[in-house]
Amino acid sequence: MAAVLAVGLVSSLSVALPAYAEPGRPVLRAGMNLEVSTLDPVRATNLFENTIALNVYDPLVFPDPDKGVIPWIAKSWEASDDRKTYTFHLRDDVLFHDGRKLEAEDVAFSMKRALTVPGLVGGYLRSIDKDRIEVVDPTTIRFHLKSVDPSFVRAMVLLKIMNGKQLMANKAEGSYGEFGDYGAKFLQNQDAGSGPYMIADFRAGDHMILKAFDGYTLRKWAPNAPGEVRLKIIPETVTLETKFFAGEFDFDFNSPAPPRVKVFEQNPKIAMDKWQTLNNYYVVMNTTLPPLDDVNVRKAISYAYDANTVMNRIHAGGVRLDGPVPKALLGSCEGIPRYDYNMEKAKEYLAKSKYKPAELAKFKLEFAAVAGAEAFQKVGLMLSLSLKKLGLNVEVKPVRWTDIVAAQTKPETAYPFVYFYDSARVRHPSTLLKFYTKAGWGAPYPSGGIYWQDAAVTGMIDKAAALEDGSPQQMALYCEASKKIAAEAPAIFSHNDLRLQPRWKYLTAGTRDGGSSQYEYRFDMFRFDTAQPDYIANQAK
Amino acid sequence: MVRFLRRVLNTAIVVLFVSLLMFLLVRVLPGDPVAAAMGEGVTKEQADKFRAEMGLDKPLYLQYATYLDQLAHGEFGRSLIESRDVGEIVSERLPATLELVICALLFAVVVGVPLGILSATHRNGLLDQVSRLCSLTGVSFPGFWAALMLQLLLGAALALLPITGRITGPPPEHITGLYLVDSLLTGNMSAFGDAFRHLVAPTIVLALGPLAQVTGMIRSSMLDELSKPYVSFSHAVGMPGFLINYKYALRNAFSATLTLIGFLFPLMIGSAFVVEKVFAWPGIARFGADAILANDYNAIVGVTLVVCLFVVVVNFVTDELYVMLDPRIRLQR
Repeated sequence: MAAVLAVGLVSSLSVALPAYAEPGRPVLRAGMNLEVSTLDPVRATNLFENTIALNVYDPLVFPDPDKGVIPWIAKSWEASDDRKTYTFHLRDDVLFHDGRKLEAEDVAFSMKRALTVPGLVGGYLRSIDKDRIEVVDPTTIRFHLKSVDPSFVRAMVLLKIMNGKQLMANKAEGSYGEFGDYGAKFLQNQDAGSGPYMIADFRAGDHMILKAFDGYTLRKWAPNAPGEVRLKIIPETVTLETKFFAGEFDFDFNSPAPPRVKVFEQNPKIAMDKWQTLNNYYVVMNTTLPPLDDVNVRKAISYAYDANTVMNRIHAGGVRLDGPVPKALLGSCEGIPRYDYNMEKAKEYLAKSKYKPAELAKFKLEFAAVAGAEAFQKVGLMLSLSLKKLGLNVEVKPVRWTDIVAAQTKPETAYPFVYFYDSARVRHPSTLLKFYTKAGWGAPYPSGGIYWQDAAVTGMIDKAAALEDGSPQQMALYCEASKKIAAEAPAIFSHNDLRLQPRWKYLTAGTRDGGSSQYEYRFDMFRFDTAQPDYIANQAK
Repeated sequence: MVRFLRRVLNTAIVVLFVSLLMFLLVRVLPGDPVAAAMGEGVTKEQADKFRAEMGLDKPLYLQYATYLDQLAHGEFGRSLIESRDVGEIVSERLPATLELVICALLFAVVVGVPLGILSATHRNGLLDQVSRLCSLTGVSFPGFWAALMLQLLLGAALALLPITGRITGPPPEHITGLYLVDSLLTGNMSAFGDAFRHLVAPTIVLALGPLAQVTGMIRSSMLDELSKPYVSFSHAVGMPGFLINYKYALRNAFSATLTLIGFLFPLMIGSAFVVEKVFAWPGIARFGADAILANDYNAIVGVTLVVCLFVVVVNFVTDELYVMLDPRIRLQR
């Protein structure tokens, strides 16, 4: 009764609400199911923080799904013969959002900042000698590497160029000496970028509004591209879906769960784009623990893993992953051993193991599934049921991500099994293969807990690093390394997932992988069909 | 005055104890918050650098001393995830939760008390049966289910209410952080209507359980009071029923309900998490739950301290209200 009264009262209080939008330009609206905790591109970690960063800032080179990288702020670059010095030549017409021209000094500042401020980006660029960054002239910058890094140019996609003068003019007290806080406080609710969008409004835990930067020169604005982007933080997936179907959102960042796919597909107003991502799903094994120290046990477990069910029933589709590196990054590489679900073969390999059945039955192996990720727990349950038939006891344990990554840093604490995905942020085989060498042992990441190596594999990876990036010789070495790794089964190589992208039909959003994590969400590439009635109706909501 | 000072001292001791307990608890639990804060692929060197920057490489007693020093200066320490002072985050988010909880509690009391009285005065009648059924239903519904149903019905299907959020247009000028209050103080009626519409559904969901509890408690206390001789005597001398019920019986019956309300307030701050999540309400309960998942040390301690302070303050206010309701307590002191 009271509820009805309250609703009646509310209806009478309904008012025409003030709008943020500029008239005439389409407004893109979407929900984010994770909090945006930072606007600092160096510290961005989750999907949405990265998406905001790549729309507000630009890199020197731009990811391209076919070519690897293409010129962007840097119009060209060259490497020295020993591949330890890279010179980038910059465009002279790129403006920051405050109207100042972007110069090589800003690139040097951004690189030094990324290597100094704790954050993810610095990890991918750590081969750079921070003390030998040369500003040759306002449009030329030179980087010297401490050691050869085959993924260096591709990793430059992650370096977002920041307005150094603006950040230093707004620095606060901090722990970086003359740099103060390196602009961290300023970046809590503002940006210092040159990208196609500027941060117009940000309320932590609530929303983010981006506005198109009219001074953007790196890509011409289309009249039906979003002039404004409104992102709402909606932690609950069901609520996100409700708002999407109510027309309050134009597209959904989240791939729907398999049972919900039909609901989207059967709606005549909704389109569903599908594309293969380079998110590599693995079950990594701690190979120092018995019985996982026996290659035959690991092979048996790999055969007992039903990848097709995982891909198509638990997740919403995918492409099988043969080894540690997806095919798209290896070129034509044939002959990588593959473990298709086969319980008979699993039994065969288990019989070859050095452990007797009675010994195997005594082991209690934990399968760490990230707490809160229901699909991950289902994968664990499915594998544990298969292994039970082989006489192996596996207990599925929901564990917080923080606890998993901490446990993986030591062989004695690393979990026997961890299911997770690696988003291959830098699209280069070397970044994925390093976990199968000593250099990757103990990294605070699930793969850091494999603790497996092979001298021949390490040799091939080291040799490949010194070769021309993308050369057939280099690819051949990575291919051979992948074969050797897969043959030893230190992990279960599951699949690359499919991105399912529901959108209203009046919107054309990213329809394929963007060449690097989340680059399919460059909003300046989205297009609206502004003549459609649904567009007109929804924009008013 | 002495009693008040003693109370303040007790409060300080409780808060200090809670801070120490939480400070130690979050640090002895397994899990590395630094790796979580920095994301996938972080190197050991980077993690160590961040750990040193946050002071997490120091011995525990030094960390605690630093924390107390910060608290004395009005700072709650830096959030590992958001890289800014927890106090700043709490001050941004607390008003949202407070507004929601206060509205839900008011709703529960304003609706629950008359419902409980009517239920008691019409014992075993139709009104009583309906009221009890409603109470039982309210307390039995899982909050998240009720929230999703209200969203679908009132938000998506009937489009009567917004589906999520605290406000659609620009918020009113910041005075207290409570949008309803601020919009009234600034005469911004458009913002008032906007904020009110957003509050309705989450308020109803959060109030469902407490409403049932308040109704049930008032009913049983009233039944107890109505069976006492002074009520029979009042009826015998021809005193109006309304006066007997609302002036005398309710006053005596309300003490137990007041205790319940005192307990409900902090409980509702905790249980607001589900409502805040489903309705995308930018409050402190959601932030607290996220902090626990991310092992964000300072944020966990900060949120706990703030909630602890509220429990203490609400208990204090409840005790004072007892005195107002029942003069015998004042005499006993």
